[in-house]
Amino acid sequence: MKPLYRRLLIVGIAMGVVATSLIIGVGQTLFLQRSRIGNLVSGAYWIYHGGDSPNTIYGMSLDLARTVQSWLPKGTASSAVAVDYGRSIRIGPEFYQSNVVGTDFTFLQFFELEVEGRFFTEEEQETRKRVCAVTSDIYELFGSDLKFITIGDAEFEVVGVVRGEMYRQGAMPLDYSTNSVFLPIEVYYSDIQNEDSLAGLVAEIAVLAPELTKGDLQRVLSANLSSLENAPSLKVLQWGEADRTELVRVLLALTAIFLVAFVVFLLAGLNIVQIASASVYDRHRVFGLKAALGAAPGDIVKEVSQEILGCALQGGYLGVVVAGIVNTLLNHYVGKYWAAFNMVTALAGVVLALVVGWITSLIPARKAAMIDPVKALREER
Amino acid sequence: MLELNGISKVYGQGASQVEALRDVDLNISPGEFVAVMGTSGCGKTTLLNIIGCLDTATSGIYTLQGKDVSRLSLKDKARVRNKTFGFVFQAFNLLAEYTVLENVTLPLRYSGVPKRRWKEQGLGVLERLGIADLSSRYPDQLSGGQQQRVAIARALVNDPEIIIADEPTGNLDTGTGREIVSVLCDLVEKQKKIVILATHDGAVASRAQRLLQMVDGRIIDDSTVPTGAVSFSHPAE
Ligand SMILES: Nc1ncnc2c1ncn2[C@@H]1O[C@H](COP(=O)(O)OP(=O)(O)OP(=O)(O)O)[C@@H](O)[C@H]1O
Ligand SMILES: [Mg+2]
Repeated sequence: MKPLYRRLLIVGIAMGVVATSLIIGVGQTLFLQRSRIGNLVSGAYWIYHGGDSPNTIYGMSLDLARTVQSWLPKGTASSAVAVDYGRSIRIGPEFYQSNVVGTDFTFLQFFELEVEGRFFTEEEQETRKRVCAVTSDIYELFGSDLKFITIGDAEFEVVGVVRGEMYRQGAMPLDYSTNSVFLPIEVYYSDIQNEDSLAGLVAEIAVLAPELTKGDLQRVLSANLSSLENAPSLKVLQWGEADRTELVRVLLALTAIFLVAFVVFLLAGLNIVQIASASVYDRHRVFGLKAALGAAPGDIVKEVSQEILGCALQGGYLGVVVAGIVNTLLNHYVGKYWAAFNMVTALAGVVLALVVGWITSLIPARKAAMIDPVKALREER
Repeated sequence: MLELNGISKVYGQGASQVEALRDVDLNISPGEFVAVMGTSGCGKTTLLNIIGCLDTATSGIYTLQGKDVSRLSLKDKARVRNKTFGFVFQAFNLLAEYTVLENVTLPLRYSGVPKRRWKEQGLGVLERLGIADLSSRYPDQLSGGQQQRVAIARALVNDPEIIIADEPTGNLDTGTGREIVSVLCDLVEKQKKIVILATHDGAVASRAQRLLQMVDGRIIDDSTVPTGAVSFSHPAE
């Protein structure tokens, strides 16, 4: 086979392998993530003070938060949340960076958590006790020595340890699962931030209202907001909704990649069949001569297939390397949504190349075997 | 050895139909050197191709070593070509990307000879033809005469009974052509092979013991010439 054809064939097969690895990777991702699209937490919402652009968020004052909470139907659990990220806290002689979360005693209802001791109680919150609960990782660091935590000038008694996932994307993506200290929001205002209840420290109000739809909640808000002067633009987000919005964006991108890869795959497929056929046509006389000298059709089929399979193997290796690079880049871009590129994928790539090579070789090999030696050798003169 | 009875060959259909062979009867025995002569288009190549199992007759019976060839499958025909026939062409038909040795051993690939014996067997034939020193060259590094010797070596590598040579001297000058014909004569005399040769050249044909004259797809004359009787047609060397 001419070196040019050889190279084209190898590149063609490599392209096919890259495209297919993308098709498989993306397909797998689409399939696995498909279930997450509908995965909203029903009845759980965030109310936040949003700006004109979806990325702008203003804090609410504690007063406003309390007013909003009072609008909610009876029996609806809600918690105002204010967070100080990476706040320096002191435990015994040691300083430590941690998230300090001011919230309501109802906060616990929003997550499925294991609690040792207790979260602070309604009574403790009302009487503005300096008490707090910590995540289990902090507790594991200090063990039973962990009795008090000092934040600023105030000392807090540790009354409980919470363990479990407290992650979701809210208006601001928040993760309270680790390295967090929870305390009553009024105490947070007065003893930690030294602010009055008009300061806009409240990021969000978490609401658990199983009987309300998002629309219901929006109507409740707008009905009540209209009676306020300088009404803030409060927005409602269902839990999981922000996740979903991002997921949909990623899935759309992946679908586009999938389609492009599919087209590339088809083109590569056509291309390699063309090149393989051309390489046979090119050597019409060679195969004619071989037939004259005693090559049976089977011998020629074998010869051509082996040649193309050799190219396929090389193309397979090349394709796997390139696919690895492309995958790494994609991984960078779509992060946690991307299906991993591993040994299995690499092996599948090589096997795939061989299968493609085998299918590709079928037609040209058959053509080569059917060359009539008499005609092929007559053309020479 | 080989026997043709009422062999005809028709190419094409309808108006463009060509009768390349018409009702040919022919018998050839081991040790015969047969030359086929005739004008261009009279059917020499067609006859040789049918004898060599490269082509199939439209009608008639061809018996080779007692077997009816016309019913053989493609695979079996390939085997017969490989084992029983050696082909020498006007245009040499060596593969440019193969060395001389690789060209010569090409038929061994298809005859089930184990790979380790290819070299030995190939060098053996090249030696007998006195061109072993060319074994690692490529065809484009050889003269026409050398190339045709390589082609003869390739035809002999499987030790076939019958050599088919279609105008083997057509691309060579007179002197070189004569040398090539001498090589073929040797095969008949020393190894009792059958050589069937098509040519336009009377001097070449005169080296054969038997001369077939063809006109328009028919053999019109089949005469046996005593060896040596035609040596007058060569200028003294
Ligand atoms: N494949 C084919 N299709 C149609 N006609 C053919 C084919 N092959 C040969 N012929 C015709 O059959 C006739 C015999 O051809 P053949 O090649 O046997 O002649 P030849 O004696 O070998 O001629 P030359 O001396 O030119 O080689 C010619 O008229 C040729 O045109
Ligand atoms: Mg001819």
